[in-house]
Order: sequence, then C-alpha cells, then structure tokens
Amino acid sequence: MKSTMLTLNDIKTGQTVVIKNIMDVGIATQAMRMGIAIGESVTCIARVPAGPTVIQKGGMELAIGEGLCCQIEVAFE
Amino acid sequence: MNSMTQDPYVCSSGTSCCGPTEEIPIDISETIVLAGNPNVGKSVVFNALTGLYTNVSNFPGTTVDIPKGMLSDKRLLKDTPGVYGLSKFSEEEFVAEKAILAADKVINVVSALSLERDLFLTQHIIDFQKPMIVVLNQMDEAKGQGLEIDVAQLQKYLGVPVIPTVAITGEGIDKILPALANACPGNPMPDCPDVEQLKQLEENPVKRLHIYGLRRQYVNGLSQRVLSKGVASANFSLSRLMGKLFLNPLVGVISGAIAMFALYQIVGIWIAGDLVNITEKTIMLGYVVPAIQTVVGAVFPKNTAIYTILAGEFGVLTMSLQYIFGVLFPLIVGFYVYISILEDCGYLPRIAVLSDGLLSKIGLNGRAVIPIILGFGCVTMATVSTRVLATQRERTIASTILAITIPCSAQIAVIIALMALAGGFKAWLVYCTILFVVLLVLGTLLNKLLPGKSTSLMLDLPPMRLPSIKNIARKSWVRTMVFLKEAAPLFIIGSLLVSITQVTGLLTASEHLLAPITVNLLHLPAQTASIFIMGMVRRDFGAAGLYMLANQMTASQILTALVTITLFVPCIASFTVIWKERGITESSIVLAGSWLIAFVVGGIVAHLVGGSGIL
Repeated sequence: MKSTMLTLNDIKTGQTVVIKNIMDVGIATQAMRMGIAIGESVTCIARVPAGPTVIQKGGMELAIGEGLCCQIEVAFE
Repeated sequence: MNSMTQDPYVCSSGTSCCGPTEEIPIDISETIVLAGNPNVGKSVVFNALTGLYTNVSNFPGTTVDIPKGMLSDKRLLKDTPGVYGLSKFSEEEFVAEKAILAADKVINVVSALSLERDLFLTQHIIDFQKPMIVVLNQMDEAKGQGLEIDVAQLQKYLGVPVIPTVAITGEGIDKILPALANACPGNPMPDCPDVEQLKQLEENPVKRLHIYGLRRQYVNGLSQRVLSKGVASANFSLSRLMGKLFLNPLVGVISGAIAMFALYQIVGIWIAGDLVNITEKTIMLGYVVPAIQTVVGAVFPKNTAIYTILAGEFGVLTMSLQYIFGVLFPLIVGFYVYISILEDCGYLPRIAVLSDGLLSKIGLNGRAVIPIILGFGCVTMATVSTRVLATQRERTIASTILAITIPCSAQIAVIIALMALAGGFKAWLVYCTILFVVLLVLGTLLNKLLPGKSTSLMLDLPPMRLPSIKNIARKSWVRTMVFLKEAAPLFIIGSLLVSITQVTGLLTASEHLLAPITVNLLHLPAQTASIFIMGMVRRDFGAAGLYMLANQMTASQILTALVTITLFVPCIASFTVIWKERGITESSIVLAGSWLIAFVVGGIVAHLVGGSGIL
C-alpha cells in the first residue's frame, strides 16, 4: 500500500511537517506510544539516502525506515 | 519462551551472556519489577539496587533477557527490556508486559529527558492499577538541556511517589527502596474503564488505538503542566550537533573507516603484534610451557601417549594455557574495551540508522546491527539477542548470517595475528570483501526465499555522550571474565579431543581423508584438515590451530584457510543456541549450508587469489 499523498519519505532535512494520517493501525499504535500521533508536528533532522528519515519531536530523535515512512502521510503547516 | 523466564545469566547452553550467576532463593516475599522505555538508565538503577552487573549501554534494545537480583527481606528485583507500552508488539514487549503484570510492585524508570514520551508507559501501568513508584532519572542531563520538571506537581497528577535521581552517579538511589513502601496504583486517566474491561478493550487493535490516543493526549497535557524549558547548555548543543553529524552518510563512511583502522592499529598491530609477542613468546613459550613440559616429563617419559596429551604440541596443559593466556586474553580485553567505547558514546545507534538501507535489502532492518555487532564479540550471545528483532523471519535471517559470515572476537583475535603474516592491510581488504559479498548474497537469497515480510525500522536515538571510563572498564572486564569462563573449559576439552585424535592416529587419517578438499580444492597443506576438525570443536580453536601451521604457508594459503574457517561450522556453543532458538530443521540446514559455503567459497578464493598473485 503506497500513499499518493506527501509522506515522510518526501521531506527534506530541516523541514517541519504535521502528521496527517498513518495508514497502518499497528504502526499508528506503536507511533502513538512514542508520541508521534496525528496532528503532531515533527522536524526532519536527517535523511539517509535510500534509508531512514530521522525526525525530532521535543527531546526525542526517532529514526524511521523507508518502508514505514511511506505509510505516514504528512503536510506542511 | 521458556528460556525467557530462566535466570538470564546462565543460558541453557551453559554459556553465560552478561554477568555473574546468582542463586535465587525459592521463598520470595515480594516481586518488584523495573520497567521503563529503552535507554532511560534502568540497568544502572538495577545495578545500584542489587550490586549486580548488567549490560549498561547507550543502545536501545540490548537487554534481551530478564536479569534478576535479590534485595533485602527476600524481595526479588527483576529488570525488563525497555518498552514504550504494554502491547506485545515484539517478543521483548511480550516478556516485559508479562513481568510487569505479574509484579507485586513496579519501579517505573522515567527519563527526565523525554518525559512526554515516557509518561505514556507510566500512565499505562497506572491504568492497569499496579502499585508503583516513578524514578525520574537523568535529572542532571535534563538540567543541561534546560529542562525543569516540577516533581511535586508530577507526583500529585500521577498519584504515585516520584523520586528524582542521577543513577549514574548514585544520586537519589538510596531513596528508591524506602519509597517502595508507599507504592500505590495512582490516578487512572479520566473516564478510564476498570482494569479487566480495559485489558479486554486493548485486545482489539482499533479500540486499542483509540484508547492509546486518549492516553497520549492526557499525558501530553500532564507533561506540559509540569515541564518548563529554559536555555540548554553548550555541552548539550554539542551532543546534538555530534548526533546529527554522525547521521551524515559521508561522515558515517569516514568515521566508520577511521573506526576500522583504529581497531586494526590498536588491536591488530599493537596488541596482536607487540603485546602478544611478549605474552606468548617471552612469557608462555619462554617460561611457562617449558616448565610444564619439565614437570610432566619428570612423571611421564617424553614418548608416551600421556605426555603428548598433557604437554605435547596440542597438549591440554601446554596449548590451552599458551593460547588462552598468551594470545586470546590480551586480544579479547582489547576488543571489548574498544567495542564498549563505541557502544557507550551512542555511536552504535547511528550506525544502525546508516546501515538500515543496506540491511533492509537483505530482509532485516537497522536494528539487526545490534546482533551483528554483538556477533563480532560472541556469536552465541548474538544469536540469543536476535530476539530483539520483530519477526521470526528476521530472526532466521539474522541467525543464519551470524552463524556463517560473522567471525567472533575469539576468532578475530587469531585472524588479526594471522593477517599480519598474510600481508596485512591488503589481505584484510580481500578477506572483508569476500565475507561481505557472501553476507549480501546469502541475505538476499534468504530474503527472496523465505515467506512473509520483514518490518521496517523505528529506532529511538539516544543522545551522544562522553563514554564513562568506569562503565567501560567494568563492562570490558566482566565480558572478558565471562568469555574466559565460557571458553576455557571448551578449549581444554577441545585440545584433549585433538590430542587424542593425534595419539590414536585419527588426526593423520583425517588429513588423508580430507585431502581431496584441503589439498586439491583449497590448495592447502594436508595438515590443515586437523584445523577443520578443531574448528568443529570451537570456531576460534580452528583459527588458533591455523596459527601454528602459518609459518609453513604462503599468504594466499593463509587467506584461503581463514575464509574457509570463518564460513565453516559455528562453534558448538553457538550451534546449541541456534538449535534451541530456531529448531532442529533450521539449525541442521545452517550447519550443512556452512560446510557447503565454506568449501565452495574457499575453493574460489584459492583459485582466484592463489592464481592472481595479489598478495
């Protein structure tokens, strides 16, 4: 299942986005526990080419793999 | 599952993974469980409370089993793997949830650095109405980041005692156990259903997500009310900057190369060359071995079988001592100190992020870098740690790769010494490239052939910090001792077996029997057959045996033999663990596969490298 919307895979280092939708319930649940929920804004602090996106929220830095990022739909504020 | 509930210090294969064994008395008055998110200092708190050693590291996901220790009054303290909630998403979470729900009291360690994130688990435990206290750890680092937490307010909102600590320096630790007397179930979130109903609702994935949403919202509000942000210190900004820097692929490749070269220079040249020259040649061969031979020779004449077994070329007394203390000991210490430094400063999780792209090509994700790096320490321990991986599929891939392509520290120790004889850096380059290619091909094949789908990375990155010398010294020392305790008996049994085959003529017979493979296919001296026999007893033992034959071999022969011995059968201890973890069918396939791959790749190396003259 691939999103046609903007996803975490499409953002660049330094950009801040709001999470709009997480397509998989299991992933949404896991992310929710770590504080990554729909409506929250996160900042991309690093992008590994053909690899994970690292986002920052508060004091937390979280690396999310490509396969997960494409499930997380985002939008610019 | 059964193994999870055992004392983790003694794996059932008889190998001890992380620390001393402690007898747990049967009459326990109370079970107290430490719970918390990954990397919040739970293990440090556990150590401070029980005095036992657990593997304290700056890498989320290194506690796989449940360490236990006794407190006063027959109270049992259990540590658990770090989790973000009670939700069974992985085996680790399953284990943690089970332990937490079975506890009489819970000590929830919360990091002051990530209060908002951590409070989700705290509230989850509160909603399940477990009597608990909260240990608010890393208060010093929080101050450095300019974070101010109103502890009294937090205590009021949660309804459970909150103890601020700096576990690493011991500050506040003495207040934890007294506070346990006041442990209580706390204040559930507004409109929280009763415990049984809540547990049932959380069994349903969609309802669970809804409840998690409410809980997340509640604790976010709570955190906002108790947390105020000031100005961060320069140190913290530096740590952040370093953390970001090491996520840059270019910096990653350069720092990785520097790290590899430093390892080669320190462990390979200084320790394996200069230091081992003293410990092995001067001390062991100069004094200890001749002394043993004189004593044994005085009782048993030199040409008897008993003399050969005890003090001969592969003698139980002579060779075991010479290799364990002369060669392995200095190298193992060096290797562990080095790895502990990388681990403690937070460099390893960054490697996990950078390697995620590559690892996802072979059906793993960045998290698998933990077992793979641990594998360079001890494959047996690493195979157990594949439990941190989310699916059976990933565990199968990781265990197979570990068993076949990753040389363990004992083996590396000897390989480093041999590489110096085989042409140094160039030989290393060829050796690493070959292993890397085998790893990629094997992983890609497994990823294609195995049914199902692997999971993607979601990894929390701890801040970079200066490694603590105390931490590193303790960790390296305990790991070395554990290794020696595990390895020494197997080493002695191994040399006994080899001596017996030598005395009975079996070793010579095996050399003839295996000659088609060793001489014709691999272009090695016939005696290397005995190395492969020894390699079956213990992986590094084979490499150690090779060390003895090295002066009769050319550089390309040494390289061929090293590649073959690395890919060859994992040691008995790690095979036992693979059998236990993955079942008899899978472990047999791994075993047969390692023979096939070792000889096929070895043959290719012999023909290509031997013919090309690049060494």
